[in-house]
Amino acid sequence: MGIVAKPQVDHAFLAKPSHDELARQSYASNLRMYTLATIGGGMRTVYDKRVKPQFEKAQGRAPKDEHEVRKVMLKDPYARAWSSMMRAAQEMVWESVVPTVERAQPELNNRIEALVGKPGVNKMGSLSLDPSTVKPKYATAVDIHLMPGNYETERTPNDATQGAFYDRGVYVYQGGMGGDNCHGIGMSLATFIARKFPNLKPKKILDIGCTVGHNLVPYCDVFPDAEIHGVDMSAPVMRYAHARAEAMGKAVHFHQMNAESLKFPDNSFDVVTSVILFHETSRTALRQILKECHRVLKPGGLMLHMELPRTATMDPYDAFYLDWDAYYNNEPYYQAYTATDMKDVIVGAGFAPDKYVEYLIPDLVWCDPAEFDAAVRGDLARGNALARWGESIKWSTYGAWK
Amino acid sequence: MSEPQIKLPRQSKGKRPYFFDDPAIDQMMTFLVELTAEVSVVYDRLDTVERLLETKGTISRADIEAYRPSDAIESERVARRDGYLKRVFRMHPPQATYGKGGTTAKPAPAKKKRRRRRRQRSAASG
Repeated sequence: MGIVAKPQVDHAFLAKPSHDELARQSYASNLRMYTLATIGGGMRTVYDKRVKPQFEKAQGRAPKDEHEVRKVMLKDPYARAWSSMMRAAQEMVWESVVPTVERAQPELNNRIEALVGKPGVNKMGSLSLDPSTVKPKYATAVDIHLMPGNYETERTPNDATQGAFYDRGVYVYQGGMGGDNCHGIGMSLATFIARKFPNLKPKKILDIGCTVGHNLVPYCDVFPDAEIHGVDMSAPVMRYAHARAEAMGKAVHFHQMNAESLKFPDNSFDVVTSVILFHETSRTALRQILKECHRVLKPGGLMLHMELPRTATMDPYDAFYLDWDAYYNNEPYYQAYTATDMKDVIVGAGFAPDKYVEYLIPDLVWCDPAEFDAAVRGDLARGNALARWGESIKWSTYGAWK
Repeated sequence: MSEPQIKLPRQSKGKRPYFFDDPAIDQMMTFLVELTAEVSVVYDRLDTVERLLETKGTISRADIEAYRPSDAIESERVARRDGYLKRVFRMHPPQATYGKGGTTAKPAPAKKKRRRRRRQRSAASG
């Protein structure tokens, strides 16, 4: 049976679906999960029973890498039907949210502007926008994971539409499995840092590429004494992020910045993190971003990035399955990311090789608390990094101490 | 209101991939997937009406619009949608080979014949 997730936590700026829009969004979530888990699960059988034996018969060997697997799999009728459904379902996720967001506007933008722009409003966090922020080509060339308008589209001087679109769209995409605030990954990362390094006691934390703050807001609860900062390139997303955090009663300081050229002084932060960011940046940008992380980190500070598992070292079939999105879900940098040796680029950014760290962190929304305890102690069985939400998913995390 | 009406794009930037040899089949898949969504929406609405009528003698459209399923009711709906997905998207079981008929039906020869005949006809008239 499909997993029943909790409804998204309401807040003052969340675009509210009508009765039928909610029904359509719920269906889009269920369809996506069904296609991914049930039909997608059958893909392995198709490969083992039909595609691989046919390849072996013709070539006298098994497919050597994911590219060979992809070539033969996408000729198979089952894989074609699955792929065609996956694409249509992903398009439906966003499409189902469009009318909700359009109807909420422009009233939503006006309400956000009233909060963002008016001096004297008693706010917990802050927002600083920098219209001179340069948006590199990798951020604007395609609409990442098919979100029409991407992160950066700005239609009016007070526009926060793409932030509102992303907030609701991500919940529908995740089918609620990333938590009822889409906060599960950030909460897992923050909790892991707090429990693994109890003496770190960070005073200032920075999260880069934070979008609307789904995975950043949890830091406020885990580190109530710390000053929490988030950066993102998109002004509409930052406006929305600020409004959302204020509505949730969380003190976060949002800055419109390109992580390749942060405007913070050297040695500013005790902890620098990101969540599922690097596969959406170019390889050149990745190196520059890591250099900036090193620069703004205080000596003795910790950098940790949570990402998708790297497929370069995986079984060719698993790599094909995970990299499907890179090819057909507008994730053009996913491939380059998965082929990158992270230790190599982290050391290249100025961190000492013996200060490199990596951890597998179980998802707090889904894992057994004992499993999380084991991860904190450092004796977690490596397990299946391929597992998906609703199973025992573990997040690949790596970084370094400065 | 003085603010301009905001319209979101319906399509994402980037080339859309096709998976079948004939892109029309992918187009049909989109039609089909969207149609299943509409059926599901109608079913949820009907479910709302039934549940409201169970507790009230008469209901208005406003009652329907205002209705939001509780977690327990949503879980019933998820189970129903799951069964619906299983019935509609009934994948042919993954097996080692296809039965007679094969994966590639060959309508090609008929086409060729017709073309040849047409050529002959035009040669005769010319």
